[in-house]
Amino acid sequence: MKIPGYINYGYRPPAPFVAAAILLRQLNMRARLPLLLDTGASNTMILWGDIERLGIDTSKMKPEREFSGLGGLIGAKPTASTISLRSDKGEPIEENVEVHIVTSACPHPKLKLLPSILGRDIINKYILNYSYDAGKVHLEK
Amino acid sequence: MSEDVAIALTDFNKDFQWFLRSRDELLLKYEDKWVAIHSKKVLDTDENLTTLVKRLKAKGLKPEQILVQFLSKEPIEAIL
Repeated sequence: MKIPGYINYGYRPPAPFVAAAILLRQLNMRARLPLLLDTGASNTMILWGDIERLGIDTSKMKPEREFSGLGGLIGAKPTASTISLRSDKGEPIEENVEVHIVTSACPHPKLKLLPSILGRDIINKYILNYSYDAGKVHLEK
Repeated sequence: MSEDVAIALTDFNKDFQWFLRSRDELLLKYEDKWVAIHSKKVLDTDENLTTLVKRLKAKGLKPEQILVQFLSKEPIEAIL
């Protein structure tokens, strides 16, 4: 089964994305969001722009963890979630994971432009096919 | 997955595809603005995400169910 992705030319260089629906069970919240396919990220993570759009309140969530990145350490809280993706035949595909919600204050307004991330916790369950030249990206199981 | 979620996901995929295909055209109208998109239509725009989200809610819309993207003239460069 293939899950089609999309190349977003709003990034330099262009970047591969998938469209997802997410159920944050602890928060009883359903949302839709594009996710950057990021093999450099250990975990699937919701970043500042989507946190604001979704109106997520992390105050009652589990203790936060620290993640290291090029920008330094950031805090994020895990929450039990179901991520739903759509196959090219319209079949629903669900992945149950702990999605991490960034809790560190947004250090600069420009960082709200950063997309949320589909990390290796999910990507590693699939074959990632990506050909920029062919304009194609998809996850496959 | 409920049928509702499957339908919602199909619609969201269509909106995201439409946004990506229409990016150049949308940039002419909404450069450096956040745009809210649903059913392949621009519902609202603003330079400020907080303002846009508040306005969507005031209209009775659910921002968490709507595609909201920033139209940056200069492509975004980032290392995550």
